[in-house]
Amino acid sequence: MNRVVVTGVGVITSIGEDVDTFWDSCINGKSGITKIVKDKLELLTPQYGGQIHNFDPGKYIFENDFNSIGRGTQLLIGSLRQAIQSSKLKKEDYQLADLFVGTTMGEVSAETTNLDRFLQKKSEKAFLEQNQLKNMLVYASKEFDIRGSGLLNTNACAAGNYSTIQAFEQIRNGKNKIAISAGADPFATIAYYGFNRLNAISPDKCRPFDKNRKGMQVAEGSACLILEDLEHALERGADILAEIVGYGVSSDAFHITAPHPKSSGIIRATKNALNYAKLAPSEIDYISAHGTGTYANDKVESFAINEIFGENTPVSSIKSMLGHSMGAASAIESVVSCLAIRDNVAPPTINFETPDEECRIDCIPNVCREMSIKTVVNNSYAFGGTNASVIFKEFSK
Amino acid sequence: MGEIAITGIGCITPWGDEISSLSKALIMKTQNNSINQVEDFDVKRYIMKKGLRSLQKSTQMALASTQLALKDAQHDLKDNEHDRLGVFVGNSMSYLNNISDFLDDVYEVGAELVSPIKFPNTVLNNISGWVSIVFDAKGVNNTVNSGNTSSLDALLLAKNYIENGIIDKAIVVGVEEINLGVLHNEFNGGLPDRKMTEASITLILEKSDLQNNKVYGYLDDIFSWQEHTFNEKDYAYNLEKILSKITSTTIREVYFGSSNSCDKVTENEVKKMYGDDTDQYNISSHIGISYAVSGFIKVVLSLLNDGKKIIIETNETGNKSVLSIESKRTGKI
Amino acid sequence: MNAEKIINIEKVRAIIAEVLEVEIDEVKAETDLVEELDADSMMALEIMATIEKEFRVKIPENEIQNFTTLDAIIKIVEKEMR
Repeated sequence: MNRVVVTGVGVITSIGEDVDTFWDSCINGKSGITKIVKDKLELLTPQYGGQIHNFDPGKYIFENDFNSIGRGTQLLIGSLRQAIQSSKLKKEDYQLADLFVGTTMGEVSAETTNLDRFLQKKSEKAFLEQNQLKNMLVYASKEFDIRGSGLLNTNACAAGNYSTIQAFEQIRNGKNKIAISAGADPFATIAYYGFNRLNAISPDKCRPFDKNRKGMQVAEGSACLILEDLEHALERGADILAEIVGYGVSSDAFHITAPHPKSSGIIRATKNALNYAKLAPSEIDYISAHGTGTYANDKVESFAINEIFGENTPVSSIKSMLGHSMGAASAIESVVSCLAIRDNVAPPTINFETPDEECRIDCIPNVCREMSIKTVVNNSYAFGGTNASVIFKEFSK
Repeated sequence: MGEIAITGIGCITPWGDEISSLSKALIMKTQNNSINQVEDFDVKRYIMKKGLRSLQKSTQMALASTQLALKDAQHDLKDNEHDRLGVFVGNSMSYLNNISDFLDDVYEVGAELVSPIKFPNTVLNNISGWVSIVFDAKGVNNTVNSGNTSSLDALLLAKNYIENGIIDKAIVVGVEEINLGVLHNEFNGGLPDRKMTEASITLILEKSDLQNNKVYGYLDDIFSWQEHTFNEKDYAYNLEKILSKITSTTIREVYFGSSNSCDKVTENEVKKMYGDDTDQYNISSHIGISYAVSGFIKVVLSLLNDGKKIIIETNETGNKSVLSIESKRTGKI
Repeated sequence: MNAEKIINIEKVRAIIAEVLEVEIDEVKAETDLVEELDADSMMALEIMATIEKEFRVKIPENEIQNFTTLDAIIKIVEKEMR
């Protein structure tokens, strides 16, 4: 079985549209949350979200008419371009890569075409094409002339991790030398309305693990990781950010929106990952939490962490800074995992004021922590009770 | 490592809910612009569980076909085996119907009063979530969208998860519902001028060295690749390369037909490759467009009698897929 | 005034029965919807949303946990309608 390393990363987020700016903002606990501004959106009681303002698709998209492709795909191509550039792979190499993309809502073109349908108007052809979500991959592959296999994982808020898992297995099993994993989601009005009606959105700040937390915030973004066979990476002298050493998946089989109250699914996913990586819980230096900031998630996640790791392993949620960028979230958090290993610093959970007896974890409150980080677990949990944990490790021969 | 076997099939189709129902589609003549829907569908006929009435038809059809498939496979898991059962769903355009349902409610009563239960239905993986809940599948639940190849890509993913030792058994669903959102996307407010079919098909997949009471056939190979731009020559070249990789024992039947511009190329390549020795079925004139379930319709047809079969499924742009199956019905079929 | 109240109660009873997929006469004034009729959180939300639409009233989020019996629900709705 082949070893799999990360040789390139890219991000588009509300706190940075390139990896350096993003990471600097992340370490310094910068918030990307702003008052929601969107065409035809009815502003409700919770008014804040993690939109990316001033994103210029023209900076990243050249082989497609960027006005004809959806925002989700624009964000995807943005981080994909950064990741390919940072990997320094030659075109003849990345052209043959497999491409796995994760998303929760897909594109938001359906918000427009549905209103057309309702008003009995014809829709613009470009929107109808965007509604065919498989085209997210088509446009992205066309942009870089990628011809390997590809798949869109619509696994909601764990989709990014599921894509990483598929890319990982392609290389591990010797089916390809290079596989790309990405996650992307545009700001979706439907998500904003929907989560609001589930009483899941915080009216003020997103406070993961805080006693007075009141929910998540809808956000958008994308991130991309280039995964590569270790021998191939060494041969071409690539910069290796981290190694992926294992993963675990599970399904709660409990409820479509609520997590299992005894955390059974997420405990299994994390334990499966540790078994796969042949690591003991004590060997994990940092946990990148799912940490949405809802009462339910943070409670069950803390319980699971206590069950496996005890109370001392540092954990933080970057959703406190970005909000919940849906399918992009776990991909962004994978990039954070790699950078944490590279720089031996873990980002904080911001907006933390009051500890919660039900969340007895070290959530790295408000200020980043410099410490030795050799292994990171990246957790993500989604609607439908689908869970995925991926383990990153400092590369050593 | 044992081969991967198909041990159960469940079908919800416009022609009935038997495994043989789809063969009726090849015999019955329907108009070129017929929209073939599953009429009078009631999920309670298949599953007595409460809490399913507010789900979208695509989710309910998926639950029903899964119930039929598990019954067909004489599925009986011990407590600890639920962790080794996974769910894989291929679904592509139906979400537009669910979004219609949600947003139409918003237009009527406003965002503050829209029914909250309509929101989870709009999330793209709600089908695999519900299948895992109803059938207690705790291994993994995964949804993929690759247009017409969705069900075959879900099958490939399930096969990989089994071969990688993550799960032992998989529920694989290909489902699509044709309703307002989908119709608007296809015909843009105009009257239907091409055939469409909705259906849900579930296959149960497991390693064949386990205690299988019944086997329909074995998966040999699944090839899936991307072509981001439609080019007849490129597709012909790639298809010929893939078909050449498939072992040369006699192919009895080839099933294809995705109701797109690739079909002509597929037909030519298949004729070139197999000539008159193989029965070749282009099902698009009978089924029309069926998006995600398209591949599984062909798989079920191919399993109605024994022999080595090939299924070819395409998107004009995007994924293309070739599946070779050894259809070998054994046990109590 | 009394006639109006009776109609409202029957409407609410019908909504609950439909969502919980039970017979109307199973929903008595004091029947515990969770313990006796297997209501879960999604069903509670559906009952709330249907009532909101039907009576053109907004139920505050923190009242959902009090949707335990028909009587309790009626009291909450009446309070919000005032």
